[in-house]
Amino acid sequence: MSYLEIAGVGKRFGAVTALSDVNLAIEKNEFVSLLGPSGSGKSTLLRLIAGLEQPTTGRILIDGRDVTPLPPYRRGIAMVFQDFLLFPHMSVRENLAFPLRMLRMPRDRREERIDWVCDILSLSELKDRYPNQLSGGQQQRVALGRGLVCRPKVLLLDEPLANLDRELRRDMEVEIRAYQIQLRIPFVYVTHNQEEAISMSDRIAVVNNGVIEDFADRATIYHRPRTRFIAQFVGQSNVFEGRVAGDGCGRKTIDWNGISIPLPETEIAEGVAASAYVKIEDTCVEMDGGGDRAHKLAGRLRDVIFRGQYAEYLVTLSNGSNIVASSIDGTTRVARGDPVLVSWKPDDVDLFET
Amino acid sequence: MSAGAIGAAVSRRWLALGSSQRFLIVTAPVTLFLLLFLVVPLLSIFVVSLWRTESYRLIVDWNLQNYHDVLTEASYRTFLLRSVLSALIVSVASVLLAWPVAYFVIRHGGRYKLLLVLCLAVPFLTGIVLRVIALQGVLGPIGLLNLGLMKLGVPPVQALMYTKTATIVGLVYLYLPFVITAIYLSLLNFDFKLVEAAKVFGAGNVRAFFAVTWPLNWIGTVVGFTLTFIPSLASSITPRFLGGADGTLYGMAMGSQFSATGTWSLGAAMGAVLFVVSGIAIFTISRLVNLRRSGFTGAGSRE
Repeated sequence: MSYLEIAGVGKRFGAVTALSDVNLAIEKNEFVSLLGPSGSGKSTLLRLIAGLEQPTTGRILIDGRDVTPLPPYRRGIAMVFQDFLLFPHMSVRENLAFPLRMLRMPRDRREERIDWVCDILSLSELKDRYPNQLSGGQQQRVALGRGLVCRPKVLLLDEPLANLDRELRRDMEVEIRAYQIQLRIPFVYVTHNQEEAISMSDRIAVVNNGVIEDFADRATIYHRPRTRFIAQFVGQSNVFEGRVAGDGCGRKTIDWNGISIPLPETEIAEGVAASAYVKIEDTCVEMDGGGDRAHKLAGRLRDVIFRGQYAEYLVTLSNGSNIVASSIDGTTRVARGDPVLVSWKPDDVDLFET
Repeated sequence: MSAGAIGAAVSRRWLALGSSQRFLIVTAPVTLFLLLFLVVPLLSIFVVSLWRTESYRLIVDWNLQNYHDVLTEASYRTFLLRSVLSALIVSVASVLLAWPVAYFVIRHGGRYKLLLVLCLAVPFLTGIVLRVIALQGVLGPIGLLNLGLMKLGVPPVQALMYTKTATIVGLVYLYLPFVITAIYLSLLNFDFKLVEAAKVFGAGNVRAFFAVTWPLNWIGTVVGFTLTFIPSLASSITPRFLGGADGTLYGMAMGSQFSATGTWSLGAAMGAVLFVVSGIAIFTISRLVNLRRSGFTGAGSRE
């Protein structure tokens, strides 16, 4: 039995179904992200685990105990909120002491715990400040500390980094992951930001329209999307939509606005409408030097978008469509207007019926 | 010159002024108004309180006799103490009644929140005297309450009308809308997600309320309390209509100096004393507010 089990959980608000039949089993040392667009139901799922909402169907078990009927404070969970929700009338020390006071922990043990959490999160200097005297990153750390101080069985994080600037967010991603490894409790992390989910999680549950599209390790989610939604939502891809056709030699292709895109082995029958996704980093661009053109598409380089660590090459193909490629041989030099070839390995194509 | 050009010229001139000049222009009308209609009358009361009245005429004769009378006459002291006590009871009762109402409107009022609160202003359409007289109709010897009791076979309660209790009920009725509005506005700006956070971190409903909701709406509560306390302290109409012979309050006694007995300078001295007492009350109440502890975000800047 897993440490945190969500069994057949559904939630309706009046006529609206927010979640239907969610099943997740999360292990003790896992960092799990619930990834999905806004309104997908991921926050509702977190609130159900927290006990802030009651599920319409199904059960939630923590450490083998059915917590479904229990109020939040009896579940042994803690939560870090998007807008921090520090108590503005309490100092940092009092904010951190709050969960312990609610547990009626004696004063000396309380102080011990506060020192412990201040130590991990380097908050010792800030103990006597009030939330409005802290920067965003410091508030975030206090919110995290308040979550960890009572040693919860599960820590729930609701888009905790959404209000931080980019630089700080990257630092905090690394830190949060480090705390999770150190504390050996499951973190359930809600985000709409795929980069956050991918950089921190062991496993990712992709939520869309109240349904779990897939729950798998991050590499699978990224490289082997199980559904079209995941292919669309995670990473940046070129999309080829059209009908599946045969090339006469037993291989299938997709007829995309007059260009035949070769496909990997597929069950999808000829004539069926389908979409093929190729990640931009799997899409290579090279100079069109009149060499081997098999399985390559010819086009003209329209622009280069420099992103720092990499560049995106915007290519206009012969049928007038644009595709983006970001893989290039280090020695190649291409300039705007050059004739180029784009290509990818058939294995890198993710194909879905539409 | 077109209107637009004039506007542009005016705004150029405006921007050319220094910030202190602009401050003066903006604040001058208000300052003038306050000086003319608040400060000058207050000062004149103080001046008159140092004069003397004789057979309905003010005589300029500087002396402290009026203050001596107010502070030594046992009846005035009784009235003042009684007023302070009843104002306290009225304010506390109003706060206790207003909290559940304001809380309910905020939590369950939905989009009718504002409408519900505006409904509290409906009694104001009738004027204070009518509202107090209406209360007579409810509490009086043959009022609604007693008629109801008699219908049920219970003997009528004589003690309801013309007592200190009636005055207190009347004052609570008069000032409750202000307290509800003050607490409502406070709750309107309160982030109820903080209560959720408190619950996640181990607080039950009651503890969450006293640890988070109450302290963070303390200022609004204090404002409501003060808005009731100060006018209750000076009230004269309500006790006159509802309080009995032994229910005379300070404000009532003060009012009669200006009408029945025509001893204006004594009334002015009573007013000055009331002013000081109210000032002390406001000062004491303000000491109860620790802005830092109120969650008021303007109190401290980031270091």
